[in-house]
Amino acid sequence: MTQRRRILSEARILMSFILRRSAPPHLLRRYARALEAGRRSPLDLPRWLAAAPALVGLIEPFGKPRGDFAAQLTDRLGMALLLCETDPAGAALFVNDGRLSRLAACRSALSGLIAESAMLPVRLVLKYIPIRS
Amino acid sequence: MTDADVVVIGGGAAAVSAAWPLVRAGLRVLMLDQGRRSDATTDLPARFPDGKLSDPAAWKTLLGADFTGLAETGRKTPKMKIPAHQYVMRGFSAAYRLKANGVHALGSLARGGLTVMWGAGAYPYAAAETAHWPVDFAELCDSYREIATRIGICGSADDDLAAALGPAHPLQAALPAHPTAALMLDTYRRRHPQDFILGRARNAVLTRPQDGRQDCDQTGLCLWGCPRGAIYRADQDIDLLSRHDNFRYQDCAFVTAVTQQDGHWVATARDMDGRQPERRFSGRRLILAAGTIGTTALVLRYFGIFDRPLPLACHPAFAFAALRPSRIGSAWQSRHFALGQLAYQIGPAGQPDAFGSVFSCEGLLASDVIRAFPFTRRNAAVIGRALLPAILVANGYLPSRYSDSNIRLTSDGELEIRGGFSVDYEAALTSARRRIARGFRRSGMLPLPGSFQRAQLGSDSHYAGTLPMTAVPGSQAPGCDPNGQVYDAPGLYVADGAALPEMPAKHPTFTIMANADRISRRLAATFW
Repeated sequence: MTQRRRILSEARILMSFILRRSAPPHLLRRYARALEAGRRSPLDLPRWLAAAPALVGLIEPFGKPRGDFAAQLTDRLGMALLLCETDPAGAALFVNDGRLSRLAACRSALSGLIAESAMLPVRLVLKYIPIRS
Repeated sequence: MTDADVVVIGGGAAAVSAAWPLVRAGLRVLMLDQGRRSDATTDLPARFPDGKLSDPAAWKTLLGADFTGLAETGRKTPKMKIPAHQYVMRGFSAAYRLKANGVHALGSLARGGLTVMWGAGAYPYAAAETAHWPVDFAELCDSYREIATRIGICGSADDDLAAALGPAHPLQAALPAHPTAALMLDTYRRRHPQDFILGRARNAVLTRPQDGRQDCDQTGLCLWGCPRGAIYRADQDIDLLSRHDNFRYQDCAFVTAVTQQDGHWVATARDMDGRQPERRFSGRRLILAAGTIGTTALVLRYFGIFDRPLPLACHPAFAFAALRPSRIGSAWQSRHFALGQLAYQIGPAGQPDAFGSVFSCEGLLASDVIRAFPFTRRNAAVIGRALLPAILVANGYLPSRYSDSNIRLTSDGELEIRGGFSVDYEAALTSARRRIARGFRRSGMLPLPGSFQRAQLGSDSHYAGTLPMTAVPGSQAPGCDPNGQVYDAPGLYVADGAALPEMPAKHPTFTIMANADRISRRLAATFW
């Protein structure tokens, strides 16, 4: 796979993970340009994540990242987060302009907290037995 | 024949405050400044955070078309990350050949200096805080009033904080507070916690137009720059000064040395961007207002003092977040002011042990806040969407006596700055943290576990005290008389933070400006 394709694959996985849906092409391209602007190489993400981006949460470092891969993944997720937040395609995940009722906003947050609790044991294990070093 | 009666070195808040009294007195004033301008061409989105939801080009402003906003910030404040402001600090370290250890050494070669990107907090020092200064406090108060009238400061004159702050000065009406901040203040007023004073923040922001600047319209884009000119910046004063025939602003003039020649002062300046040759400018008097770091370098070089450290006052600083549970899930504000909402202090009213400002999260990029959450990014976004309207973030400062830092010019021409803390710093910080947390809890805000962070020294760019005003000359180190004139250098003045003997816990900028005004008024009165 060419470098550009690997970058776009990484963008697809991480942005889809955050957006909870397929990322629009313009955001993928923006992620790729951001990576290239910072002269960063694509991450060696596990291939199975392409089929299930939601599972990125399991390998996302918990607490202070241990090792190069964990540090880079944290950095990339931070980038993806900012790119999603600053575009109309993703901003509604971060900002409630009143379209969501308080109940809906709280319910969504609670769902997130429950999901976090379910993932926590796996994340803790993978903190000390990482998939990549 | 000199180029000016008075040459002022610098283009920031202290420099313009020093220039005004001289210009009004009819003296010929020449301001020397590198004076870099913004190279940003991107328009701001209409509103924040709404712009993110609807404007497909908002990312260019918020992150930078070249993605500079994605760079890691370490422990710098969010405002240091703003793409359009990266030019403000660019080249400063290289210009002074700075080597910093244990401290951020920040400064600016920009037109307007650090006020281009400051938080606009404007708090006067109380009489007790300047009791050991060789300065007539009443005279300083006159200068506070002059500065406040000129730049416009908004806030409340009738809350507990106003009573504790001390000298009264003209105030424009306060901006509406963020709902969470308003609730905190309301609870504080009902419960009146002990050892904790809370009130509306004082900001150098207009709520009514003046001098061609418009009033704040609460777009929430404060961190990215105010297109209405509502937030004070020193380059606004440069524009106003430039309307006077007896004022000249010379940019591309980074001063590298000051010397005396034929009874005049001569500043040697070069263009850091290489567009102009090295030049020399002369004046009967010379005022150094290049910022503490820059001014100190010039004075040390003038006296040939190498490898001797001078004490440098810095603010030990910290930050934390607090939650108002009843606001969880609230809608975000479409109209809001994004800078300081409230300010607090602990300790004696006139001489606080710590002082800080309180901000809402809605003027920040949510990602910068939620990255501290212990959740996956995916869930942190939606959790943050519900929590951030309920969270206030606060900074805090301890007095500079709890820092133990120094600056020296090496014989190689490098400027070394070493940051450190006093032996009683840890105890003071622990005590302050406990007392502030109690004050917040009693005001209905729950400090968030794990949110307390110490900021690296200097990350607020508050520096002072290297060439302090004293009643009599010190035997060991250079300093200034009460008029700001450098001892053993008649005609050379210091009008920036370097002249302040110390920094109490409050933001120093308003006092630096007032002191510069005071020094120049005295100079203008006795010039001939």
